Amino acid sequence: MKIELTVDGLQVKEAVKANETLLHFLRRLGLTQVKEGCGVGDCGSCAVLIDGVARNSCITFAEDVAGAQITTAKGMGNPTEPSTLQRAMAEEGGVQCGFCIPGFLASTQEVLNKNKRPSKKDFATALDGHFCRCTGYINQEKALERTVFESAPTCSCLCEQEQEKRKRDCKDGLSCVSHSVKKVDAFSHACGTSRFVEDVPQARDALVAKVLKSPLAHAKIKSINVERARSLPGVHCVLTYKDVPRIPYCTAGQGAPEPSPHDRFILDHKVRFVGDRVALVAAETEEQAEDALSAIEVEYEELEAILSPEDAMKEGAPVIHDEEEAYAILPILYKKEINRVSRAEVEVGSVEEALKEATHVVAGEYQSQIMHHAMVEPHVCLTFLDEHDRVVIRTATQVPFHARRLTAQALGMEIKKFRVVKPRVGGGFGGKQEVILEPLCALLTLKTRRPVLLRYSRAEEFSAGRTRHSQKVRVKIGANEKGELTAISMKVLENTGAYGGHAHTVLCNAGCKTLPLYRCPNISFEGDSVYTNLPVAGAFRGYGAPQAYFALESCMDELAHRLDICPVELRKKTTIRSGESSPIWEVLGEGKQGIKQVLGSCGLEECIENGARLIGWNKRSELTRTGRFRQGMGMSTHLEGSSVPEVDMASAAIKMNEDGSFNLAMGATDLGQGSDTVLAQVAAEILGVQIDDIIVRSSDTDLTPFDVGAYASSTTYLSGNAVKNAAQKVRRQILAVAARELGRPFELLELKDKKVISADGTELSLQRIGAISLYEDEQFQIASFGSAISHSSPPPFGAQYALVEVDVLTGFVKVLHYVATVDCGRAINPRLAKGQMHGAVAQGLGYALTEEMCFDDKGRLTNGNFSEYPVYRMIDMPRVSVVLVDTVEESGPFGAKSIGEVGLCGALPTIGNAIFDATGVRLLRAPFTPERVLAALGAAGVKA
Amino acid sequence: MSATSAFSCPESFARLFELLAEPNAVVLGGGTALVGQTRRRKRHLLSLKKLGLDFIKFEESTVEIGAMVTITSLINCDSKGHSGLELLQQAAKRLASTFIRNAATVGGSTVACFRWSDLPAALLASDAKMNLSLADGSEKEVSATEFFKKHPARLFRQGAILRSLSIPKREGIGSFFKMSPLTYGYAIWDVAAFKPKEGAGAKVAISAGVSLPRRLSLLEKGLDDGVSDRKEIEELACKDLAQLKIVGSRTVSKEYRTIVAPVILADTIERVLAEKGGINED
Repeated sequence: MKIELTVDGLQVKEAVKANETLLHFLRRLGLTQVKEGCGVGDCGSCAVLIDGVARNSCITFAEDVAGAQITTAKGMGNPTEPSTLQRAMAEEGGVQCGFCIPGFLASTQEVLNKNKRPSKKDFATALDGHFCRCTGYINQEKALERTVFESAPTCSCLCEQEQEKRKRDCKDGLSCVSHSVKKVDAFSHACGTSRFVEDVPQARDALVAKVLKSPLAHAKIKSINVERARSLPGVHCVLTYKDVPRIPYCTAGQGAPEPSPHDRFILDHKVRFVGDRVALVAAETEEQAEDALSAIEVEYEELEAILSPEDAMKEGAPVIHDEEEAYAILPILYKKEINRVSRAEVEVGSVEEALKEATHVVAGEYQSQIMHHAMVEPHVCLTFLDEHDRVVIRTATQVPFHARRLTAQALGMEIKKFRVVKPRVGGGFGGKQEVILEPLCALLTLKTRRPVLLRYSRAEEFSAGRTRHSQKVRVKIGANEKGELTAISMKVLENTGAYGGHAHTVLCNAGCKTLPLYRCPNISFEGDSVYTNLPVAGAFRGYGAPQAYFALESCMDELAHRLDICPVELRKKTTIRSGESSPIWEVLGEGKQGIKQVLGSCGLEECIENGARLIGWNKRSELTRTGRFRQGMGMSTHLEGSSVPEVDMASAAIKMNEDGSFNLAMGATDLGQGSDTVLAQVAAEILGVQIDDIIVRSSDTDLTPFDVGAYASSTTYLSGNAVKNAAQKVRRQILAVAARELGRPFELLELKDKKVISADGTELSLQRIGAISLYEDEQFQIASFGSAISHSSPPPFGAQYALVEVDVLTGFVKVLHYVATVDCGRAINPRLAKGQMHGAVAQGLGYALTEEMCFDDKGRLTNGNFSEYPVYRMIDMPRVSVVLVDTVEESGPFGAKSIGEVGLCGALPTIGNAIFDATGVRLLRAPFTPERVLAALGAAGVKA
Repeated sequence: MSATSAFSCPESFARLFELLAEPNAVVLGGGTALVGQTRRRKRHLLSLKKLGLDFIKFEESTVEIGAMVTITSLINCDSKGHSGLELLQQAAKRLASTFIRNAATVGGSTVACFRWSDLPAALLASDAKMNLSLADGSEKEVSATEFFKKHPARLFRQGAILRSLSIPKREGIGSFFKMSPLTYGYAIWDVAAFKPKEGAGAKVAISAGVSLPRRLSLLEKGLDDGVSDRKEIEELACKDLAQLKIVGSRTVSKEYRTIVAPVILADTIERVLAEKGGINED
């Protein structure tokens, strides 16, 4: 039947199906501002105003709102004429990936419509059905406050000390770098006009693809019958393992050749986890595709499922990858016969002897959990043929160039047959450093010659996306009487799930991104990564380091306790300093031997001191540690890296236009973190313009130069250096034209404020230089490429602190204040840098306290939704303080290092140590759910 | 096969009951729980929104809440000092999210009675009555205790619908506690307690950790008898809980629920005794 309603002020009369959701209906009308994040009302990204009331359009029947007035983000404003709220969101850094923002606007607009002076709590309550995985909510709160009070933009999100630093940078002559300019995509995100994978017309005409998932954790497919499915109306293609190339490949987007097994086929005759793919379908509609899935008849031979790494390593355990074809290219000690994906073992000095001689030895075994990325946009891919019959892959990826290579490899085709385009991406956090849907979707397009859209539902994202590896990490630390560390041993047992894409590198990272933190002559690292019949673990912000820091920093806290030294003082005494090196960097890299490096910039001590001051560490003794509600403070320190040295590579191209603007094309991948902006700032600084004069295009394998992608905390540091190199070449070309035109020596020319100025004051505008070079004299295109490879991986540093309150009768832990300090070198964009930290803290709180994927004894996920997998929302956030400690890293662009991952390294040990301080009980297993805390308190005999 | 559902919005009870007689008929409240379930099933969806069930009526001794009143409307209505209604409002504030509260209805939340529903404990403690309209045109009043004795779905199999809830007007103090890891998410426990200002008639109820919401009679009696010592309250709670079948969920064990239930029951009752009321908003 047809319904009539008003959408963003326009009358709409349109046919609707009885069971059609409002979300589907609105997107069918072309209102792509309305986003689907979960489909069941848990995330809020689909929210719209229905007669002025914010509701989830994904759980509203379109027909049930016939006659209503619907307002979407489109009806609130556009990038040219944004609403006050949209402007504030854009200018205050309230948007990162932007995917959840249209829903956020609906809820906050409802509050603003009803209440002229809503409080912070009013907003937080209105947003309790909404979550943002990127921002940590602080900048959104600022935007809301600014909207309510119609105040001017906050000049900065920085504390006084940081503002002083910015002023000094300005005196250094920096006019764009080190400034909190707004994101290049800020207004499009804030107004919902950004285009994500599905937000193009081809998506509406595309066949809908679906994947038949395995209901069993480990089984062979005895028979599979798709005849009935193929005969159903609207069904264009049904594929099983019999119909696809049998080529083993690796889904991990990493440098080639990957230090990972090639253990995945597009489709296989064996399934290895609940959710593993069994068949592919493409049909005209979602319902027809689902009907086709239901019509596929599969007979399985169930095999014994292995759900823990310990069981996987037992003698005689069933072999998960018993196929002949699986292999590893690089020597990672792959031994599929015993379910081992990789093994790493290194030692410097003699740990055993040093431990024997140590005055104090502490040890502990710490178990971390499997965690879901919870990026609001699930994996989604759209493929179609261009006019030359090449396959265009429009996909939500962190690794467009790897996606192109791996898709070609999986399909046995040439790379040149594919073009990968990364549009706006709704968050990744490592989950999209994986090539999951692209080969499947491309194959369906090749088979049907039609555009094909394949998107994971939230339930599929939980079970068949990627997860954080759970690790059991055993650490032993020896120290002498002075509190100097004499030995550290770390042993890791890692659960990589059913496929091993990131198994080895995450395993190695657990050691090489943690052990160099401390000055110690004897260090050993040993680890195994093991297959199980659980969902596939992949890259996840921190990449093994957060798991290992849980153990290392808990043990350091234990050591401080044992030595009766303040944990802060122990860190100051034992952590690495500028000019020093760690032998671990040399012997253990990410997937191969490391590189020798001497530490350049290091602001760790300042991080430690700033954090201690902000949390009130010196008042720790005044906290209540008796009775039912006990308070405690904990802290931890960390380092990470900036790119994978001697592996990662980035490049950029810049050309100048006749109006003095520049096109910056780069392979670097912006998935919300703001790399398009930061890299444009680097270019603008060198080219003497403002960021508005840099037109950014990133991540299109046909149009932009190569970059490994957004991972390993590499983008600012490595891609930034590539942009810097390209910009410097272009700058020289500009100055050469100006020197010739002005008749002045090249060396006496300066490029700033969109013009070239000679020492005697003569000027030539960039616009004029552009016109000369393109139209008038010795014409040529001012343009250049720049590449960069990292020869070292300068670590960012951080210290985090928490003040918690533990209810010893229920086990509930309440974080009262969280402080995160970071040395990321010179922050190219301080607001975005802080946004990264706030987002990492919010994720870290979930990692420490609430987020855990649970499985039954058949390997079935039991909490694959956000009602049972709690993520922090605005209303749940404690007070969070973030401090940037500026240093200058000589090898980085304008002194920058990375910031993307270091912020997530601290939450587990920091909160664990705070709980210990409050109760005297050390938690060895994460997350610290009330049940787990209560059990630990009970075992230790702690009573109110 | 794909759903070929129909959607109707009857304007009279007679028409509603006619349609309800169809085999695939499903009554739609706010629809928030139903949409996901219905996408691929053949259903005839029957919206109640044109039946005038979105009212809140204050009578001398009761307040009657229409089944189609949204949770948000319930929260925002002036309680006029009606303690039982205030208790229900406290529970409503903790139900799911604002988005869902804006759509979900009192009737839908009551009838569905999911284990994670937050209203039932408060309905029991506020001594609510459920007013049912039957297919033969008659009406039936069922106490909350009777309503939740077995799963409420049993009452609707013959084509009845929940028309409204009635909360008796009583002066007193009520408190609701939802124990959940974070604000949004299923409860580990929902606890509601009500103590009249004068005389007997205290009500204490619990849900989420039991298969159906239940009243706790020993605690009720204890409150009527003037119990105030926390230890005694916890002991009574333990005895009450021993009569119930506490269940584990997919993320919380039965053992944990068993240990913490007396604690949060005592917390909630202490709030009532301190005449604080309110919910755990902190």
